[in-house]
Amino acid sequence: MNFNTAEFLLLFLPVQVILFYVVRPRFRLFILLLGSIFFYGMSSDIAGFLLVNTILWAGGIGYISSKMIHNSGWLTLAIFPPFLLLFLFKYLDFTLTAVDPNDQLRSSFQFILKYALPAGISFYTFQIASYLIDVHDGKVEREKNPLVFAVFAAFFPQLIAGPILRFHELRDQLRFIAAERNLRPDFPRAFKFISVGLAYKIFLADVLRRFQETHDVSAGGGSLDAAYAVLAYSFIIYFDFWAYSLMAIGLAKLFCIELPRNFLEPYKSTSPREFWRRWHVTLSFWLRDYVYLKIGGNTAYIRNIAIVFLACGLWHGAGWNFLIWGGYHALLVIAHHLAREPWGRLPGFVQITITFMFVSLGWPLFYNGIEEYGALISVLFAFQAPTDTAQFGYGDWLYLAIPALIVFATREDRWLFNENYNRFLDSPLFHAGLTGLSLMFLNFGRTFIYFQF
Amino acid sequence: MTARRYLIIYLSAILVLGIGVSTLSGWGSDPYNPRTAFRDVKPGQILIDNGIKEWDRIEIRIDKTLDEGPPRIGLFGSHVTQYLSAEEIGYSDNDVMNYFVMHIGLPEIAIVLRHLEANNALPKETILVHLHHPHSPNWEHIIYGIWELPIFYYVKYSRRRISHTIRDVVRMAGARMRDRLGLENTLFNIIDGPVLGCDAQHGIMAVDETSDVEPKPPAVKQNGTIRKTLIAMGLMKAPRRVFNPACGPTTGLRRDGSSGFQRSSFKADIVPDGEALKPNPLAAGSAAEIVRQMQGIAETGRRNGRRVVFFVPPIYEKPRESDRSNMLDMAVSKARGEGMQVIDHRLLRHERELFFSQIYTSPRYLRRLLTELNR
Repeated sequence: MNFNTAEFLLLFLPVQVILFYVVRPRFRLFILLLGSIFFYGMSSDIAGFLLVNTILWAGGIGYISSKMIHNSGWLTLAIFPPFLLLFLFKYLDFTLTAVDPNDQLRSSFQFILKYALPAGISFYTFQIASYLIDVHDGKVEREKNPLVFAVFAAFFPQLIAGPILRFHELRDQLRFIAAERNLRPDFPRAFKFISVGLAYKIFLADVLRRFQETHDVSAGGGSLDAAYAVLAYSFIIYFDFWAYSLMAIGLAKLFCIELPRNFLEPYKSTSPREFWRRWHVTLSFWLRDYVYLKIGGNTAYIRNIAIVFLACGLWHGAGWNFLIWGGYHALLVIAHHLAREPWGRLPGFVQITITFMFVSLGWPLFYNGIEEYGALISVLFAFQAPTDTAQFGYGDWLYLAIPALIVFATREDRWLFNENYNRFLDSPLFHAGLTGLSLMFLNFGRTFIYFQF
Repeated sequence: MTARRYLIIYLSAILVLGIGVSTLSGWGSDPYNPRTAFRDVKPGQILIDNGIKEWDRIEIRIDKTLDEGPPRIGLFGSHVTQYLSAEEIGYSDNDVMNYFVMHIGLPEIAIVLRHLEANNALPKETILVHLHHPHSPNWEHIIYGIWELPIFYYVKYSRRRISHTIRDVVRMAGARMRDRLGLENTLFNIIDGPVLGCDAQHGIMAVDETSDVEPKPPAVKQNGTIRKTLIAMGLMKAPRRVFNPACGPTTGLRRDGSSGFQRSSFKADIVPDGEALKPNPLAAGSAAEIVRQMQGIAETGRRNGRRVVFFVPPIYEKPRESDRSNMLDMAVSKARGEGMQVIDHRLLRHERELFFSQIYTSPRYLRRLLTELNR
């Protein structure tokens, strides 16, 4: 189920919230689990089946094997099935294309290939793996309450597109809501984040996507049109993903759960390295803790950075374009590392501009195959005029300026995550209006991009 | 502000907005009973479908079938088949009835057929089932539902696992709410009438009187209250008889179930060379699913002694290789291997006279199809 659908906002969510608050505290986790499985099962039976079985496996193996959990063989056994499912449902098609161009093997795997990629499988697999690794490393205690673990793995606000949580971030909060009689939900912030997130998604990400895909730049577009396409991709993906995360934070607050911010104004980063500390923060830290540090960290910086970013690319999608995108970011981070001294002498706004430009040049790989990407970039750097008239007109550029202004000319700490009450921006009437307006435009909405990961 | 106070104000505001929008959305629609009205439609006329929802449009035709008896041939397909009018090529609605639904594919055609079967109203001889052309914009709907049928059809006839039925009902309820609250049905409902003077029409109209390009008749003669007032006050010039896209065409259902209106603005521009198709939205292996769903429909026909013929209408295009086409090739070949009858007309793509536009085929195509059916 998508956050930006009427069935979620007007049916599922109200029922879930009401049930959560009318039942006794000890049933709250059960309601959350049931709702989360229903929410996820709405996409398909197979998706629900995989999720439930992954939870049963990971929770069960953590629960029953108390003496063996520090054994590395145990860890391999524990994380193998979830990663196997991830491979089969996400990477098998890509792997077969790469190793079996004549499709001789493909027919043997049709029983798996016929299923669409279960939404968010990468997210919950990583989250569950982090629990198992942390238990193995002794960083967290294995959870003895199966409901706490199951809700941690399936909590619907963050299940499909993150943030990727660590067990210790949720455990105490879940125990608290299962015990506390009088919860004090932060409704003002919850609805603020939901309404702003929904508006971001519908009015920025989706509308911009409509403008952007009106024209095929490689067919007669000029360099300025290509620049528009690249910049539009940048803002579309940011506002799409940030909208989801923001709504997730707001939705979790309705149930008295605090989720971490997944985006810390990443386009204001002064270097590619900083960008990855501000973009999809929970994934960056997951890769740092469970891949980068495990393979040696700074002892072989360049090699390990390359490995981590290639893995990051593959995590985002099973395709050469994603692999190249990961490699491109590895290059950016390594180049910055090598040139950090002269880089540090540049004025801050120059650093931000260059970082933003380089990051933006990579985003079209998220949407296009390698050939289309090459065509777009070649038009961009040919510095040519369009064959007839410019594809993107003043109106398009004007609309593009709106997300650009929000990103570069405002500070979220002052209006979105502000501590002091703002009479207009924190007003319930403003948020109700924003929600109502967004509901009227739901027909124009699209699936969140990160659902495919 | 306390959380409780915030919640009360927020929810009250949402409620007021919702009721307001919902009221505006329903304003002026369905001033009469279209189901009764449809029975009075005569050849050469249409029942204007302004304000009639998709799930009502199919019910109107099915109600007529239940009342007056089934046709000899029933055509079940998506909007691509909507202009296949038996009436225009000299048949009556007793011969061929068109049951098109906008984005319908195999799973929901199966549901409609089960509903007709349960009511002993299946077409007497032949069931013609549209298979989506792989290059059409709605190709993926060939095996996926779109929730445009009446809600009880799903509950009663989907014959799927309970999880599927629950999913269908929830999504459909969402689609209904989205439709009710959506911009098209609220803002446009207001500005179409009083502001732009389009004056949505209802009831029965002769096809000859319809138009797809102009306000009907010129806006100043209509009930565009605000516009008329502004013109009377000299604050606005009387508009010339020009194309007003906000008004849209007057379309409606012919007696034979097809969609009728004058199509003077339709053009059949051939697909330019090399126009790229988007990647195949269907997962690898979907050919087997297409065949499985075809089998279900063929079985309904077999059970009732009806002939089931699947057909793929052409698209006006230059030859294009694609994964999508390969997938349908596989499905068609497998279905034929299992004894199903499939008429694949993709190669008729060059025959200009069969098309109204790139994707819409004309009644001439229906003639071609029926001729082939009789062979």
